[in-house]
Amino acid sequence: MGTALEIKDLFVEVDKKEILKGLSLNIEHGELAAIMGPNGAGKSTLASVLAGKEGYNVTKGSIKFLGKDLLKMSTEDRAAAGVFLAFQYPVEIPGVATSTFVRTALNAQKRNRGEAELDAMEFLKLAREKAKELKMSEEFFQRAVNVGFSGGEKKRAEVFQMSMLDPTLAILDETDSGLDIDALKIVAEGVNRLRDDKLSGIVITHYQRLLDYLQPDTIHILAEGRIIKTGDKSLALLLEEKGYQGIVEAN
Amino acid sequence: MAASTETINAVEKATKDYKYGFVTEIETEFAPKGLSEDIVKFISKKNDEPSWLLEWRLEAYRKWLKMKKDEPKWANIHFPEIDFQDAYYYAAPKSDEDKPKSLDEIDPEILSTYNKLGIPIKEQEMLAGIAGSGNVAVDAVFDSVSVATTFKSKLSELGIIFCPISEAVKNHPDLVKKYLGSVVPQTDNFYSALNSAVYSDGSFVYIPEGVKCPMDLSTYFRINAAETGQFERTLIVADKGSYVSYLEGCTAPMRDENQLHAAVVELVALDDAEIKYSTVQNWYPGDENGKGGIYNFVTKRGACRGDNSKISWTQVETGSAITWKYPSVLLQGDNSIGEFYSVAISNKKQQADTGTKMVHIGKNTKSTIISKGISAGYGQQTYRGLVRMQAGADNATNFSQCDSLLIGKNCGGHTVPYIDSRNPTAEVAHEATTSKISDEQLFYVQQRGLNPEEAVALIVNGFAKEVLKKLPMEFAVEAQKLLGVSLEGSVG
Amino acid sequence: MKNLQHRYFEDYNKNKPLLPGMDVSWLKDLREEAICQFKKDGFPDRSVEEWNNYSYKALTDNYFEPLSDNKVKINLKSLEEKDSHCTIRVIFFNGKIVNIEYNHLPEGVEVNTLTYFFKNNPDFLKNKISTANRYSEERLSNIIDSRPQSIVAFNTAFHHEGAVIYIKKNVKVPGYIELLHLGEYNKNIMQHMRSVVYLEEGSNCEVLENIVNDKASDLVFTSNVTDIHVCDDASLSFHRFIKGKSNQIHINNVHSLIHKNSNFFSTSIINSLGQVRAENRINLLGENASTKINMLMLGSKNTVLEGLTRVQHSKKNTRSDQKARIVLGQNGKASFQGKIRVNQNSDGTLANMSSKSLLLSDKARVNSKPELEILADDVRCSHGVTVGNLSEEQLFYLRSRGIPEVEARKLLVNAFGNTILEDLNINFADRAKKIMLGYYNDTI
Repeated sequence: MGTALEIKDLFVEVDKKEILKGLSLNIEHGELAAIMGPNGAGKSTLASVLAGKEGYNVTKGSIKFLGKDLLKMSTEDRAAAGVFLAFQYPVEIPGVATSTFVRTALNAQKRNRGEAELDAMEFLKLAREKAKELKMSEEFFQRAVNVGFSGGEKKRAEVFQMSMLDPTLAILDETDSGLDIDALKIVAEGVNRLRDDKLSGIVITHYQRLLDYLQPDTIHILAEGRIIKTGDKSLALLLEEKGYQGIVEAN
Repeated sequence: MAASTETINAVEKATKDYKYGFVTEIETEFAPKGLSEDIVKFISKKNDEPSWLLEWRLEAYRKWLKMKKDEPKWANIHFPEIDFQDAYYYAAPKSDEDKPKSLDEIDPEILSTYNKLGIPIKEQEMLAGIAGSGNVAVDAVFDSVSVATTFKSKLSELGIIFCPISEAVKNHPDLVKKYLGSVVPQTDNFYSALNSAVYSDGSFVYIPEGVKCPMDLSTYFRINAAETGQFERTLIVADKGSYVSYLEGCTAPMRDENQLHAAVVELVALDDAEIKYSTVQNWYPGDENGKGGIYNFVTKRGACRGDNSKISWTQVETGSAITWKYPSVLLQGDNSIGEFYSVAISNKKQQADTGTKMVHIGKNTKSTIISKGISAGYGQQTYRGLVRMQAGADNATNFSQCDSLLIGKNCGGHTVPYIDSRNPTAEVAHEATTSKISDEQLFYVQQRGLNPEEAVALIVNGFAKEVLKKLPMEFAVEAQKLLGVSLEGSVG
Repeated sequence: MKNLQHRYFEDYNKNKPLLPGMDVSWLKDLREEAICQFKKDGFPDRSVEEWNNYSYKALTDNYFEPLSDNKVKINLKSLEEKDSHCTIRVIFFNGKIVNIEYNHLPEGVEVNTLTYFFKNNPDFLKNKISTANRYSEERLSNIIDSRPQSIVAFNTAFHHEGAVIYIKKNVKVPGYIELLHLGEYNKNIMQHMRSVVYLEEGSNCEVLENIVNDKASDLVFTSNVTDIHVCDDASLSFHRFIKGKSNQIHINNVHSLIHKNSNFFSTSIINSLGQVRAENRINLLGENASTKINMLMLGSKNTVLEGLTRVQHSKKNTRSDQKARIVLGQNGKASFQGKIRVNQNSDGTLANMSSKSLLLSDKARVNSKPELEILADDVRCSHGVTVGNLSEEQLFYLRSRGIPEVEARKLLVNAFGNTILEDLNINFADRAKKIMLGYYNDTI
């Protein structure tokens, strides 16, 4: 193993308000890390900064991904390098068919990496395979991206995209929100299927529930803009018991 | 009804102190019919105005003459040509001898409306212009001198100026000179030019820096308002960081002999200031055949001149034979906000062409337009609104929602939005719908025990709710009743 | 401008003998009435509500010679062959029909020149070509204003060529009929084309009016007016693809009367470098008549594109759907003015209008005015308008999946235009896509 992602002393401002205040975090290849924390702690900010969203001003600190300075890379270059963000609220894009979208994305990444692009047939074969694994009907290929999707469908579509794009760092931003238990299982199984020693993951969540299915290697508590505690599964259980406040106070 | 009683008390309380300001001694005198430079000079002299103001009026008059041939024709309204030479531009208030002596002489239909609205007898007399009723209010004030003094002293303590504009010209000439015509230039339109030349009087409000006006300022407080001028002129200036809520009009139908009304209202909000301007307009709409109603051609405009300023117009328009007005906001300051909330009803032969203009000039400016038009009988209702995003209005946003409700086969509901965008970062969204009250809805409500008119009133109030809830509390309650009354005879 | 009106009036009197059909008395009267109206009204200026968005200075500042022959010849052989879906192609060159091509003329279909009909069957055209006033709007204010239709009057007086498409009862025309307008101009001239499309009961037809970018070394003004009649139970698609060079002013008017149970579908794709105004005035005259009006305006450097629709619902249970999409780059300007008018007693009307604009540059400008004029109460009408740039959210989403920004922009612009293109059937879809592709490759 080795370090895939290394975040050092990160300070981030949004609208001139400091959200992340000296966050440090290391993730190994193949490691699945869960980040838990109260509302407003900066969990989604971290996800957005990793994916390179505009409006997030890094005032201090560094992020190294696979040895490269992530902060110097454009959003799409990060994606090509393997960063995948499963959005908490996937945006609707009317008029763009899901299959067109995913194929455009996949080939753009391949082009970026200097790999051969997939033709229509190869793509369709792959897409069908992945859809089947996620128990998704092919009918959604032709539907516009996220338009008219239910909450569960949107999250499943995110996992489908993830499996198609085959990232090395997956960030799941509250992927469990808005899902019923059956949908949660399907999504979690989808994610578990992708886990291997190349894929690192960050799971952002409020609740224990998703972690029961995903079994993360490490758990980090994010509060007041930094990681205040790191541990294994037992930390999540402690959290259930004491609540965030208890842990914040203890630290 | 409590709210009205309160209002009349307030009027009574306020009157004493405004005695010299408002109830000026005016000789019973008419200027001759027609409009000329001499008439303009006459009006100016009557108001004892400084020469700069007379010059300003004359300038407006000369411009109006030039505009006359292009009297606007685009509005969706139909009325016989107005003969501007066949009207009086200055008439002193009626003497008591000409006024009705008691409520018995008033049109029973108007009286029944008063009763439905729950207006106390005293107030009814004032509204109907009964001889001597003004004095009653003035007399009553003597009993509560201390309260009235508190009211007046509270405003003056805070440095708030609230007086007739004619008085402001004398006592605060610098303020008036600086802001008069600065939002609505003389030549803005045909009727604003006319108003600038011949306006009789109106209100002036100045809120000093940092002051939040502790009470809603109302034209009710000005006893002169019972004799609503044909050409009113209102100027409200909110200095940095101040706030004021201003109420215009009242829910009772105003008895008025003047056919043409062409008022001008100008609002100026400096940095961080907020002005909320609410209107309930219920002038005489004319009879079933559209005879005798008032033509209401008003120019209302606010300038959000300072950063983070806000101007909000709320209007309930149920009266007048013809309404033609577009309360507007010029969003000049960065982050400034403009709002327009309107309910307008056209019943019988009423015609309304009303809406707003939101002109985004500063960065991050924001405007919201909610318009609810209701047409019944032979009424014609047009929403006409302009949203303009100037090149410098980075990240400006506008949202407009214009809904029309049609009741009956002979009315019309129209929507004419103009959208003009010159900035790619600005966003404009407009939505509009037209619908009717369905028979199923009516049946359902009636089955629960409401008569058809109550049922319509209920449904219409639901339709207009978004706007009504923006009105100050007591106004809102009265406005709700008013909607019902205005739609009488529209079903069945 | 007064002088100009007068000059054109004299031009008319001078050139009268050259105009086709002057021996047909109703047509002569129509032309005379129209030129008098034009002489009175002149070119509409910005005091005319429907013309107040942008100025037409080029029209009022220049003189355009009527009925001019600039002696340029076309080599028909050099033309691209007609599209495989195209059944009949009428080729206009410099305002003259130079060829009508078809492999096989289907039974019950007549396609010929206006001049031919004036000579051989003038009665057929009577009342099918109408005065401009017929389309002037009744207004609530009772003021009937003929000025908005002044260019149509101008065309009515001066029209010298056009195509007549006449589809007989129950005939379904396979493929589509193309009216291809080509030109090569070397002086300031104007062309007035007048076409008539008449569908008898139960017939079906698709027409493409294809106005291709002309070669013009000088300013050119072209006006195309098409009078359309769709009888009961018939269905017509009439699409317009309008291109043009920067020194071209093109004004295109389509006037359609749609009868009982009939359907009229029109798509206008406008991608000109000059000034274009495309109007669509439709009257749904019969019960259950329906129409769908789509417009896609693609503007870039210095372009001024204007789209105007007027849909009148005159009978019960009529339906209309309007969609306008505007994309503007550089300092392009465009406007959309749409109107739904529901006349009294036209109960059961369903009408929708949507107008969306994308401004891709800080010098672009768009005006949108979607009007509703409703005089019946049992109706459902709605409209929506948006103006803005590409959504930052959407762009970020695409880029976070690895799609480079330029490509992401194209994808989103394409999706925006697709809402118009995807309504087109296979006969036109590919051609429309090509226009779209050409546009955003040049602009984005």
